[in-house]
Amino acid sequence: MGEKKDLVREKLELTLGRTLIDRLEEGESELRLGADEALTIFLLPSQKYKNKKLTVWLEGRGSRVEILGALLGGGEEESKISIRVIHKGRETSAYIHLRTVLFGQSRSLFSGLIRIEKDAIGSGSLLEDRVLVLGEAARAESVPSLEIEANEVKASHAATVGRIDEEQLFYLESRGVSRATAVRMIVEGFFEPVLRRLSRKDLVAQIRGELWADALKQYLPDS
Amino acid sequence: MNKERDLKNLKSSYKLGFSVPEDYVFKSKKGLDEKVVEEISAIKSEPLWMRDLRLKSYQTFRQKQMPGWGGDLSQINFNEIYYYLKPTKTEAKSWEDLPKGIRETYNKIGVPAAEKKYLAGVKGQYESEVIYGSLLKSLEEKGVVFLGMDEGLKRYPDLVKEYFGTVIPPADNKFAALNSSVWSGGSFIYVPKNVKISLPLQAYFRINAANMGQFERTLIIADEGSFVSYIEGCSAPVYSTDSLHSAVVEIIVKRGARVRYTTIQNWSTNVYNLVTKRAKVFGDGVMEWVDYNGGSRLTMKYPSVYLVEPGAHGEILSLAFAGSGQHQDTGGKAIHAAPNTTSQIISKSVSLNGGRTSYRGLLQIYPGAKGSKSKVVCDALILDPQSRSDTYPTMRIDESQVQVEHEATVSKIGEDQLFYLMSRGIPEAQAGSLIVSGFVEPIVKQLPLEYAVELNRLIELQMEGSVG
Repeated sequence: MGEKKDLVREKLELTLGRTLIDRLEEGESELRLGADEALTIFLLPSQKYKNKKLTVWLEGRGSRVEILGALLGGGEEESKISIRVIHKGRETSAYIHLRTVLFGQSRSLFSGLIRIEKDAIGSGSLLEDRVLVLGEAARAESVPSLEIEANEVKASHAATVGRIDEEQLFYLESRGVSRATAVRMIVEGFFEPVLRRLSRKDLVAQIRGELWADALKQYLPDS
Repeated sequence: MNKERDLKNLKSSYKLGFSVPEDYVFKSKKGLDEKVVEEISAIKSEPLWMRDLRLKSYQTFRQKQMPGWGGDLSQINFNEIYYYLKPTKTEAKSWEDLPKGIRETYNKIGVPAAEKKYLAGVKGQYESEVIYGSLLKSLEEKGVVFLGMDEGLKRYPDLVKEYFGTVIPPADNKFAALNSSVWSGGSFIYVPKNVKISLPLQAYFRINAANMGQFERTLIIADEGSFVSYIEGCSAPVYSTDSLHSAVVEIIVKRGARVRYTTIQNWSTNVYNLVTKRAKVFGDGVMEWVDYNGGSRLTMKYPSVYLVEPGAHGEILSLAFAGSGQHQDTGGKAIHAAPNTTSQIISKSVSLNGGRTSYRGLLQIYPGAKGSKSKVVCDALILDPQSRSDTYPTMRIDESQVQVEHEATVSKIGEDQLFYLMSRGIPEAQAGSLIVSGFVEPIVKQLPLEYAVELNRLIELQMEGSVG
């Protein structure tokens, strides 16, 4: 299993496998997973990420990868994330789920590729890319591709780009919550599905802390 | 079972693969140069502006690169193709007036029979020219125009000049440039304000000669509040050498109008089908593409809707079948350039016997297109380990006040579905067919009944012996 230099800041052993927290530094990372290896990668925003490429090769039979992301863009930031998962071994599985909130005039470009090669019989792959646009001038581009060369498989992807549901806001405001707090609650809720994938509570708390205390504060007015 | 035996009898599968001897008024030399382009224009006695447009487009064609994506185009030899074949002197008003070989071809395909039963008008194109045309008298009286494109240019030069190449400029892509330089035939349709045509208009495109290039050009203008449904079908003989079909279809849907364009693409598997289709939709107009691709060696076609005024709506229903040696690279594009525009793309594809289907799509929302909504759903079935399916969607969202969804799934036939049907005594092959029919049902049911029956038959043939 070869990891390139910049991928990992922190490694934590989990019962199922390992979790890497990746603060999206620039650059290209490649990972190869052997038989029955399982890995969770959690992508978090950093101040300076612009162009990130991550490729995971599921080579060994039964190898599994989970790539989760809670990402933010603000100001005039432009982020480019490219994730490729190549299923080579039998019965390999991948779950990719990114959630991005865009403020200001930020721009996010996401390209994802799931490739299931001929021999990867019995494999399954799912990719989800959800973008919540808060900045009036923010822009999003998403290209989630599938290349499926085997038939005993299941692969799917879903992508959405949208803004805050006015009805949700209205509901919260009607309960006496200020607009700013309501927006914040909705944004926090937006990230929950990826946070909930992590089984370790301390890790979730740590990520939440980082997101809310540092990153989100810049963009959301205090309520 | 009887039905199964019937299918076996049709084992030759592609029953439209016959050809008749060539007996033509004019056949251009092989290959393409300025002379050929000038010759085509001269035979058609065209206005000078069209001749110039052709020559300019030819230069564009030469300069443009082949697309570096999509299917394998490396086997196309532009020098081996006949670019213009004129089969008859004039367009016939009655099938009886056509040469025997051509008449029998259309009889075998079943166009005259269909015309009697449920069509408002028909155009038959054979090689490069429209050789037959009809339109219900009642529609003519209402001012509906349904002509071959060449005839349209002769009789409505101003209207053609106003719109030709405005939706798809010659420089749009290499094959649009090729079509613009050597186009011949196709349909010209004008539907006046508030005229709603209840029965479909149909065009049927037939290639007969080997190494033929067919480049029809269609322009449909639906004036405010009007409605028209247009259906095209096509077929060609099976040759060992390749033919090229490269059409351009431009549609203008004016305020409050609705156009439905249905394609039943059934080319033989030696045809390269490289087509540009696009509709410009104005305020509250509706454009619907229903696009079935089951034939050809390689199809690259992505019907598009450009939603340019508020309230415009576009729908693309794409259905692809790729069997042995086939690649269907199809999909759709929706461009939202005005507020409150909506679009929906539904794609279903089936690959079997080593075939490959690729969904390729673009969803673009320009800044200012506030309140726009779009939904894209792609489902693919892969029936055996030799086959392949790809999904290449692009979503470019430059406006925050929007709602965009995309979903895609690739899978094989569900074992539990198969098991259930087989446990009820249905043989595996038939159960497979049933499941595939159910899978494509949402698109097939959008077709007029006669076509749905035809399409189901085509699908059954494609599916024969593929499961079990």
